[in-house]
Amino acid sequence: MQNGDEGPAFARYLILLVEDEVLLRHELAQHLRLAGYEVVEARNGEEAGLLVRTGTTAAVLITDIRMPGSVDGLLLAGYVRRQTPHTKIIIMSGDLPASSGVADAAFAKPLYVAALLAKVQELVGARCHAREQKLA
Amino acid sequence: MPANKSLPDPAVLLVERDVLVRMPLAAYLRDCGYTVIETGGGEEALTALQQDQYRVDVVLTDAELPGALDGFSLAQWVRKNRPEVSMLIAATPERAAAVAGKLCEEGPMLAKPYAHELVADRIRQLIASRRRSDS
Repeated sequence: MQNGDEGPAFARYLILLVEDEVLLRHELAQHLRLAGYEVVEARNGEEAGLLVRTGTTAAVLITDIRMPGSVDGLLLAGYVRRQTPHTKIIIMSGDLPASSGVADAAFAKPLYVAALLAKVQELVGARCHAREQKLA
Repeated sequence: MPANKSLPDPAVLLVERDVLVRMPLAAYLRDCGYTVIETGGGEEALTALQQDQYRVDVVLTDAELPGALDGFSLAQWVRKNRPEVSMLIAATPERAAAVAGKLCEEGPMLAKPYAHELVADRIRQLIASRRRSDS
């Protein structure tokens, strides 16, 4: 893996995906993996915060805003911005807040996966070796 | 693996509440060639199992799960509703001793903490055994 200008080499194509709805999380993760990215999945803000605290340094955080528990997506985004400033942040929600300034991009649900993938590629670059399309 | 690219990757539904346990195990299984559906509890697992479009070959679940549905209840649901799916239940030795009777009913047992190589080996054996019995 090549080293980039914005973070350690191991993190360049790593995506931390935070979504409490299991089917959407799995589908998004599979699309991102097929595009060649490494994806770490978290079910809520607490799980994602724990992963960040224990060393997961992602190139991109993709997070839902409304999630069960005490850490919503905006709180998580602020935490990640402080802990790993090079991490790009994409938020997604059914109703996007007027103020989502902490994020580098925002997507309304329902998501257009192609648009999300294009944004990820814009933020961190495309993987050269996308996997064979084999979604269930 | 897999040797034949025309076949879909075998799929494992992983049910584990602790993200610091679930994440590295899921990554290891993906490196072994499996498609992994990650869930953190019985209800999430049921949601995935109820989707016809999701292939699941093996459910690997902790015996103790948050919520109303523990690993054994999940295994009973799978046996009744998705009999083609193999079950692999994991538990600490203390928990295993307490539920030995149930394990006889619900299939293979795996000790926690997970040894990743052993988990992959047991999954491979389950899938191979299922394919032999189906042929």
